[in-house]
Amino acid sequence: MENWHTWVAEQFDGGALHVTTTDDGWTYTLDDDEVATVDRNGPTTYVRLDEASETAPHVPIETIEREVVLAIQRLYDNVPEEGIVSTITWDDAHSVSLNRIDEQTGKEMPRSGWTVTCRHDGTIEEIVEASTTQTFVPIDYVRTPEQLHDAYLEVLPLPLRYARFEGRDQYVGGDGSYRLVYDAMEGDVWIEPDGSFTVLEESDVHEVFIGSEQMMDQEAWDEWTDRTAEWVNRMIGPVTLQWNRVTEDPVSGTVIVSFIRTEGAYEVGEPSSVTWKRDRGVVVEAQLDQGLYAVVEPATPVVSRDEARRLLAQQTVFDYAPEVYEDDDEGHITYVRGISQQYPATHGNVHAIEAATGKPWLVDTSSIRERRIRLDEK
Amino acid sequence: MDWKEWKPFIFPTGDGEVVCTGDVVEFVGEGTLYVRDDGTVDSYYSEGSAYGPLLTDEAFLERLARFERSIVRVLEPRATERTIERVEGDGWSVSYTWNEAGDPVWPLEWYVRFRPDGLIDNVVVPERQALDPTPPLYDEDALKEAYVHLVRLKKEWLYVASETYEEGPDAYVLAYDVSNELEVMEDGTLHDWTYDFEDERFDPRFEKQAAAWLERLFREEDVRLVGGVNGEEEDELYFKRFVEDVPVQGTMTVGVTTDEGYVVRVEIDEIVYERVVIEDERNVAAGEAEIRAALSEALRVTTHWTHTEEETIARKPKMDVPALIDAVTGRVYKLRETAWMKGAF
Repeated sequence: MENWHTWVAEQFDGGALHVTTTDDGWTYTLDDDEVATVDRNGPTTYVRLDEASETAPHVPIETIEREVVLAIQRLYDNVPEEGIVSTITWDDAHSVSLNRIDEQTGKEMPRSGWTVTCRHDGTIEEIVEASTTQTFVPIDYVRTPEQLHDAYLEVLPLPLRYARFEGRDQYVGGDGSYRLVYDAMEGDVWIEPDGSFTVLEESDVHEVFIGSEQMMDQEAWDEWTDRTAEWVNRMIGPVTLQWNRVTEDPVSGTVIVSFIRTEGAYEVGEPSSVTWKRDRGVVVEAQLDQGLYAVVEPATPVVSRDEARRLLAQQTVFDYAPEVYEDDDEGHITYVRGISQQYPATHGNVHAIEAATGKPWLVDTSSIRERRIRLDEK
Repeated sequence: MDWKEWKPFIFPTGDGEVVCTGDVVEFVGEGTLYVRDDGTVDSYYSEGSAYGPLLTDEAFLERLARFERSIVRVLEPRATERTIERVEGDGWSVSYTWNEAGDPVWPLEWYVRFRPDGLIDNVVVPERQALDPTPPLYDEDALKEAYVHLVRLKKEWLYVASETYEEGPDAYVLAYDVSNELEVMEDGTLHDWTYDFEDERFDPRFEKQAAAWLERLFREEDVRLVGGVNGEEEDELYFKRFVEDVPVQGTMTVGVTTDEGYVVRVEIDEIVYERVVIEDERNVAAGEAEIRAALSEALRVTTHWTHTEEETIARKPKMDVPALIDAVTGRVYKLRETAWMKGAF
């Protein structure tokens, strides 16, 4: 392992850095300004503290990934021979992760290596060693991946609803239109690594009261839903609403009405809410789903629910893959080879199946770049 | 300290079992007191039992005097300054500190919260910390002059509530809020935190859509865009009501989607719904020079002990800025003192 001090000095163009040893590691100063720290308390972490340059030219992502891997190889002595490099690009930085591969499953071991934040000009801003050592513990499986696949698909309720085919990095090919779909996200299913799963009851998911909120009685319910219907009608236009709940918060003196738009027998978009100041009878806050404004063409399903389930089954793959079971402050992570849903490199999960065409809505993962590399080659 | 001395202020009957284990003193069934390694009190938290008979202010003050004699004077003999606040329907908050270099050291205050039945709800005592004795470097007159010169005189219809302001008329007043974003920095200079919206760009069609939306809510009112912040999926636009070209207190925040300009979020300060009544005689406005003169007259520069960026406690300048000035008469409105009793004890 190379000396951290030499590497840090290189990051500041060989400037005359002053090194101070602290309880946790080292602090580097340049002209009396603290410019970087290395924390060696547990996994070793580097943080650069100066401001990013706004004018420096952008460096291609391939170069950034190569420099990140070289830096890790120089600074750490426990670098594996093969790994998976994945990069997510944000507005102001790239996040490059290098993780180990589980030989048995051939899959990436999450948090088994390093996560490096780089500015667009290639400057390394942060290196976080996510873990230092890794071990696996065996588990007893309840199902095989194939059995979980079938059992999981069977319990999905796949309700019909109008949903927004969101573009903007959400769905592949999304155009913002509202379409009748079988919703694959409805009916929360919690999958355990051993292949067992729990279907969360609707009451577990929705009946969450915040602070001092209380449900209101029928008479008050009617009064506030009437007022809300009139308000939505005035502000947005004539839409049919289905009331989810009416609660009161006596501390803030507000009444909160939650609702969702319906078209024919189906819900449109996501729930909305309007908060009234009780005494004055005025609206002080509203969260309004775009579905309230949407032009929704009444549609009837062409594809049957069974057919939608079959189409979804084609797109759904369960397999063994490493999952973090336990971790500690020293950087040791224990993994299990759990059964979980796997996604191809081209896209993420399937959120819906269109009721008119059977087209799947695929989560757009194009902002994530992922590839397997050999680290022992030049 | 003999922790049994706390019993009368913790147990409803004045007596009960006390168990000391290391740094923890348990008042069985009522609460726990935590002690630091150096023997000083760290904190006390009650278990929140039901209230007994409620105390009058007079009865509370008698009880407080006993608490001060047997506990405060023993544990913090330096304490000379006290502030008592009434907590609406829920007891009293009392703070203690002492003077150093002529100013109370409030960053190191003892905080004691009493329940309406006079028992202690909780106590918080900050860790002892050295004070930086360096006297503050500033010229009081220069600082005051800079403030009076720099403060933005923005006219606004402000609701002057009697419960908030001394002699507040409970009505809208055409006024200048002079307590705005100027802050005295640690080096004794002034920094203007006013945010300029100049760099934000909004789609004019969406501005119109949002304005039209609000006009449906506030019919026949003059609603105008005053600022906003660009977001990735949602722009946030700020609107205000205007009366005779002057903005009215309170803001309407409207979130519009950046793709189609739909209004997806609204937050409206309740005060916006309050009616502005304009009195006929309010037509001769005081000039800017008169307002700044009134401000200069009312502004006080003092020193106070405060936490600094270097994590020490040091003396820094503090502006006691009057809250607002009537734009017509030049009259200064001051915020009401929130403390019920304040000063030496």
